[in-house]
Amino acid sequence: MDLSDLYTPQELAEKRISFLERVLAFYNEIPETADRARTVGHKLRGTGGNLGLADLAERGTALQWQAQEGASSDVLKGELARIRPQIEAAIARERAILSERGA
Amino acid sequence: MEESTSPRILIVDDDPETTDIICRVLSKEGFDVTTTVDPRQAIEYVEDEKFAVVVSDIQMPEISGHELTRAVHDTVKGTQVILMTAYSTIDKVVEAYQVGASDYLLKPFEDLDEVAEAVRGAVRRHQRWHEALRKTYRQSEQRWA
Repeated sequence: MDLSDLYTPQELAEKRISFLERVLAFYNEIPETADRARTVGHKLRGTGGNLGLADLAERGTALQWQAQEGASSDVLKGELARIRPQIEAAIARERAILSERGA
Repeated sequence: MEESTSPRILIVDDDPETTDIICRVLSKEGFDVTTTVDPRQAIEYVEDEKFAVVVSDIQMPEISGHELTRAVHDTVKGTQVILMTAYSTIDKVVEAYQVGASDYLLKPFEDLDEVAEAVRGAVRRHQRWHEALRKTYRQSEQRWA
C-alpha cells in the first residue's frame, strides 16, 4: 500500500500544501532558534516523510540531528534559512499540480 | 444505530495529515477508526468508549504519548498502545515500553503496511488479553460454585 492507494493527486497536493504552510508558520511562531530547528526538523522528517516529501524529510532529519547535538544558533539559523526556500518551492510545485488539474 | 463489530482503533497525533494517513490505511483494513489531534480529547474518548488499540505520537503539545499511555492504562485494562515518533533514541524506546506501550513505530513509516501489521498484532494481543480474562472468570466461578 502506498499514498496513491489512499489519495488522488489533488488530495495529496492539498495535504502537502496544508502541512508545509504549517511548517512555514513555525518560522514565525517559535522564537527560540534551537526549538524552531527541532520542531521544523521533526515535522519535516516525520510527517513530511509520511507525505512522500523525501528531500525535505532528509533535510529535516539532518536539522533535527544538528539541533539535538547542540549545534550553535548561527548554524541552525543558516540551515533553517536554506530549507525555507525548499519548502516554498515544494508548495509552489503542489499548487502547480492543483492548477494543472483545475482544482 | 447498529454497533460495529470491527476492532476499534483510536489515532492520536497533533499533525492531522498523519492521523488521516493512518485512518485511511486502517479503514481499508476494516478497522473502525477514530482520530484526534488533541491528546486531552483522546483521554476523554478512552474514558467514554472501548478501544482495542490506541496509536499515538510521542511528542505532542501539553500531553506526551508517554503520559497518554499511562492515562489509558489507568482508565482501561487491556487496551494496547502503539507509540510512534520521528525522534528516536534508545531512551525513548525504553521509556515507551516502560510506560506500557506494546509496540513502537518510527516516523516516517518505511511502508504503510508496517502500520497495518503493527495494529493487527496489537488487536491480536487485545483479543488474547480478553480471552484470558474470560477464562479466569469462568475458572473462578467454577471454584465457587
